[in-house]
Amino acid sequence: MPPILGNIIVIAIIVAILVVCGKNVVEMIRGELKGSGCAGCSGGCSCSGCSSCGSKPSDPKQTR
Amino acid sequence: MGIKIALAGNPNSGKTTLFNDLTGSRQYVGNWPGVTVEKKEGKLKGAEYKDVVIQDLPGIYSLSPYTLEEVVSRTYLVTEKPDAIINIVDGTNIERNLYLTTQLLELNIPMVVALNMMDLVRKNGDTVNVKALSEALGCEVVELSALKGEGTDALIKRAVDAAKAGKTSQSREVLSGNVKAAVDKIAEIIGSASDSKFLRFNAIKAFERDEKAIEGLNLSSSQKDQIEKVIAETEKSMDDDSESIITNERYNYITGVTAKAVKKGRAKGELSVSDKIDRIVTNRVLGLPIFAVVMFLIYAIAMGGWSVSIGTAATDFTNDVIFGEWVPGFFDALLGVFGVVEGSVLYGLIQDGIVAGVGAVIGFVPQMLVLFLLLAILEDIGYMARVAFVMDRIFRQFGLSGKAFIPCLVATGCGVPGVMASRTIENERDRKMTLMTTTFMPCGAKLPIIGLIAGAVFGGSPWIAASAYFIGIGSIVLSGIILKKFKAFAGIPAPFVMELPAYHIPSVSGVLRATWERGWSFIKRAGSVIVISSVIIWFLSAFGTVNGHFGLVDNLFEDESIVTESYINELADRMDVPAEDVNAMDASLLASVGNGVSFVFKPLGFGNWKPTVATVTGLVAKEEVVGTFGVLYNYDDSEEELGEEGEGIWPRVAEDYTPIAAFSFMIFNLLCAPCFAAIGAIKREMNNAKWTWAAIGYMTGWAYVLALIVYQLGGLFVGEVAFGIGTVVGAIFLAALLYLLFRKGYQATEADKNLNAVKANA
Repeated sequence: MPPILGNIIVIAIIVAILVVCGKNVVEMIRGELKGSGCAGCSGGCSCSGCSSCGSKPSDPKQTR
Repeated sequence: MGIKIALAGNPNSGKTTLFNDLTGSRQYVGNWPGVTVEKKEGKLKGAEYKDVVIQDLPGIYSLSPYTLEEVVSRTYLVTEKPDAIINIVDGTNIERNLYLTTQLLELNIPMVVALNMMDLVRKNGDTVNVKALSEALGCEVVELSALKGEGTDALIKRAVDAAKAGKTSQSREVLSGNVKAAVDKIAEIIGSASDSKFLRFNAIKAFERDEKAIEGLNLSSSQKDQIEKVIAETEKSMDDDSESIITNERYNYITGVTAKAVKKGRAKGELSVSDKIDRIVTNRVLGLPIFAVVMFLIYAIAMGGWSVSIGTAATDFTNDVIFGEWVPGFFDALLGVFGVVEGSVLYGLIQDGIVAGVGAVIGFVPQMLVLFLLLAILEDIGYMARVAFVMDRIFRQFGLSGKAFIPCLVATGCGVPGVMASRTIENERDRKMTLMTTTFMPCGAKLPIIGLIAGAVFGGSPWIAASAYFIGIGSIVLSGIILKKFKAFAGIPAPFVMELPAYHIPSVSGVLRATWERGWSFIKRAGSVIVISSVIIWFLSAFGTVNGHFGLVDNLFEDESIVTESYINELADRMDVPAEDVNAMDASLLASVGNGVSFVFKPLGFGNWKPTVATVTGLVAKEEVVGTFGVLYNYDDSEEELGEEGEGIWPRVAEDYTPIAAFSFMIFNLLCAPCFAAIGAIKREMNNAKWTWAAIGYMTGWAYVLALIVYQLGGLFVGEVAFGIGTVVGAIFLAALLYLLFRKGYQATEADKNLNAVKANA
């Protein structure tokens, strides 16, 4: 494969990964700082959908 | 038309297990309006029950108005009027559980009692005559073993049938004699002010002088006076207060019920196996040393350098072989296929940025998994509940309550649920204090920091790894003592009553699931936050301005016409390093920014741009501290690449830190402001910006002072640090700390009687 084509493909893959990860991270940080997440935790590092909120973390509607 | 069924019962009676079994993944979790109590509801599984909603109420011991959970449950039952109640009763603790049952029956809502843990009841040699119990209570009783899924189908059928029929339980008289007469009289006085369905319930609550219940009835002054007269007369005749009178009546009734229906296999006074173990484990003298030894062994096995330290062995393999040889080798071959050559920017980004950063963090997953596994085993067998009890004895000596330690136990997994667990603390001041100190406990994300320092600088010493845990506990205790002496936190420690579950063989699937949940979350996070952070750190450390020329610092440093001797001296002076130690990365963007701030950490022994940057990135996620190190130390010297000999970054890290400086770095990062997730949780729980900032400021200040004292005074003691202004400052801080610890402080009075969370939220 010509190096220039290979480099473009790798750059495209890296960019795609960074965009997906970046969006997740921005949403996560926004949510964390707002204090959202399920009542079991606020979506912190142990939240992969723990047993306290069922199989997936959900977004609580807090009616205050 | 939908059916609503409420699930009510004591804490630890198996409600959550039953709820999860009944609803599966069809759950919704939120908060009850206006309070920080979890609300869970879900749709019942099964096509024939698609309109049935199960409302899981918080675990409560009674329907009194003393805790948020009790108020929330009672309000729901009285205002929402579910079609039926499933009252889950722990069969191994029938007498205590039936206390709530007697109150639920008074609500005149169709009810089915689910007698849970029947497998344990039989194992204990006890027998329960379900028919006799049902007859005595006046409602259906169904045997259940929620953990094994036995009896669930029969329970649901009975509950749904009861809801559809709308048939309430047959009334059984709980009260007797004068008390019954008094309550009947009060019911007459209340009359139409109460919903007829809840008249009996309200009359009893009015007799107990339940403020919330009385408020809801909107009684006239005359009615209130009449009720008060009836209560006073009864109290006088029975020589007891009204609440105690009702409590006694209920327990007398329960004794009668259990005499008819329950036969104990063990003689009265005979100790169970759990009781015998507890005599040692919660012993006044042995309890704390046993706990210290247990935690030391756990950290030693997970993170120490012993031959049994399986966590460390696995981490060494991951760091040295998987991420030291296999992964870089794989990417080298893969990138070669795409024509990405070594030495190019893209190659550097992938190998020195992403692979190095993510690899540095993932390398600690084995240690983390072993630690989580051991902690999960301890939790599952029931030992961790005893720890809170043991700590309460010590905490109480200092005006604290053991209840405040429970969030700390939770925080060893993740600080966020630890912070949320502070909701169980009714005393508002103690709750705030707990929120400010819970994240001192080393969470899962901090384990790589501990592992790195213990492994790289201290040769895998189990003492260093275990010390991180005890430094956390020590900080919580000392902070509690200091803060309690201020008016904002002063108060009498709340009584601590907790249930000790019986010891049992840990469930293999439960333990493995708990371990995997935590570990997988960590790995997923590494795949998102760490990837992004590693790329940013790599970019900022790879590019910079060298003697007025911007570009890749490694390439620029190879040009002798740019990197002159005077430039090297100027850079060495700016970075405060010897000229012969200057390398390309010192000229990077990251080094310039980090260097501008690093003076803050000079008194702590790590006033260098790399640890400064690592500490700051730790705010996003604590594991990022190690991820940053992975990038910064992976490619530190343009002439030498790590990974060829599979050494990883540890030797490079060890070169940069003296033992005392490394220990100080570990202390600061363990105790300072937690990650964004934990800050967000604190913000939510405090519900006050001022207190949130106070919490962050306190934790960071505490971490700074402690790290400074350790470095300056500890360093002087071991001969690593010379006497200087830092020593004087360290001594002043130590003196101040001792003063705050031992001063008399604000003495709590009756006027400071604990502000209850229920009143705080009223």
